[in-house]
Parts: sequence; C-alpha cells; structure tokens
Amino acid sequence: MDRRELYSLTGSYVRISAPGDHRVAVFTVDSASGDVAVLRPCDRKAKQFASEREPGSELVLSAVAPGGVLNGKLRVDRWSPSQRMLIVDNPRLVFSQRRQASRVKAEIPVEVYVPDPGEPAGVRMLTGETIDVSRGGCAFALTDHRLEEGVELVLVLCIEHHPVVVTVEVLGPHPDVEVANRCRFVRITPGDQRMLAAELGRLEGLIRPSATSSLAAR
Amino acid sequence: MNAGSRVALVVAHDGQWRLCGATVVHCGGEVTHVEADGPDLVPDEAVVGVIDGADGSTLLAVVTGRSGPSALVLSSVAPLR
Repeated sequence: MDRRELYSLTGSYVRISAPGDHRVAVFTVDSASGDVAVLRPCDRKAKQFASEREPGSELVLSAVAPGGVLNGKLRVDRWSPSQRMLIVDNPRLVFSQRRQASRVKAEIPVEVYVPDPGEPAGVRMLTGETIDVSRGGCAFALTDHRLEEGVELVLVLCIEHHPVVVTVEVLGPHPDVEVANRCRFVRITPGDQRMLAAELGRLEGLIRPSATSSLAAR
Repeated sequence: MNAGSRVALVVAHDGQWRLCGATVVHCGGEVTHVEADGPDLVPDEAVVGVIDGADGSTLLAVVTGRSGPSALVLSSVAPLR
C-alpha cells in the first residue's frame, strides 16, 4: 500500500467529513509536522463544521494529488476559534491511483457471494446496490456489511435483461459513503465487458440531458 | 481450489442467473472440470463464477464443453490488465 505524508498537501485543498455524515467541508492544510497538523477552514460552512467537532472525534480526509487521490482518517485534537484552526493528528495517508475509466453514478442492484463454510452452499449471498460504476470497477453499498480489503469475490451486477458476473478485488471503504465498498474488476468476459460499456453509455446518456436541461432552466 | 473441493457456481445465461453446487474433478491451468449437483443446471456457454467456500478462492469461467449432463468443462477468463 502506497502511503504519503499529510505534509505533501500543505497549501492544498482537502475535503473533510465525519464518518457516516455525507456533508463535506473544505479546508486547506496549513502545516503538518510531528504528531500535529493544522487545517484552516475555507468558508463559513467549514468553520461551522470545525467548531462542532469534539476532541478525539474521527474525521475522514480525501484530497486530489498528482496522478491520484489521498485518503485517510484524522483525529481531532481541538478547534481554536481565535486562530480559526482545526488541530488534528498527523497520520500517513493512503495514495490511490486515479481511475483509467470514467465513473457513472448508477444504482444497479448487486449480489456479492462471500465464502462461508457454515452455509449449505458454502457461500453467503449479500445484496446491495452500486453507487457508481465504470468499465474497470464500481463502488457499492451493502446493508450493515463491510468487506475485507484485498479479498477477491464473485459479484453479479443485476443489469436488466443481462446480468453481468465478474470477479472483483475489494479495494477498501468508500471515502465519502460510510457503508460502501470500492472494488476493481479482476475478471470479466469480453462479451460482458461490451455489454457493460453499452449500459454505461446508456446511463451517461440518461444523465447528461437532464443535467443540461437543469442548467438551461437557470 | 483442488480436485474434490466443493464449490458454489453462480451461473448466468440468457438473462437469468442462479446459484448451484458442484464438485471439482480436475483443476489445472486454464481448464477446470467440475461435476454439477444435477443435470441441466448449467447450460453451454454460460458464464460461471466459481467460489470455493473452504479457502475463499474464486474463478470466472465459461462453459465450453461437457462429458455428461452434469460434467462440465470450464475455460477460465483471463484477468484484466
């Protein structure tokens, strides 16, 4: 796993959220040295967010870095209202390479088969739905279940009239959605790859006109 | 996944998918032979996800032949690069 220092983001924008909370606040990294890092809120919303954090509470950080993204978990030390600074710890961040394929936001039902020798079939089926999908992988949410990072599983994307069976590698939790898992496709048949590309094209076509019309309505 | 392993098959064909059990007869390289738990559970050319519940290993394959109603020849799908 490639890890980077928070120090490398000094002066950069970072997105901060609380686990389980979809709201995102934008900060800049003021400094990061030793066990302490200082984040500065970029706007009133971020300042409000910072002032509500309890010492010891956990935060989730994500930020764009050259060639990819950095993710990590921070722990709040304190909010300093006079200096407008959120003091946090200074953990190393996980670097993930940027995806080669664009993602489409889509809620496609999924079934994941988890090995379970205790079950009669030797597997347990978990159901959920995707948050986004690309030709190379997807993020999906499972109710009350977090998958172990690095494991390889069989997943069915329940696309109408053409279910796609793939093997996937779990990459870890989604940076913004608490119960979601990110994965990359390890094996997919060429026919299903074409089918998935067509479905993604259809979904993009469905999304783009509405986005355009909402802009035109302004 | 070895000869004698019990596996679960996620079988997708013609817009439908189902789960069924099987036993690995031979596993080597790109071709795996399995004996499904019943005849006609797995059609020719179906895409099959194979899961070994005991060791957690997985395989994605296509049914490319059979030597009996439930004796299947599975050809592995190559990993994405």
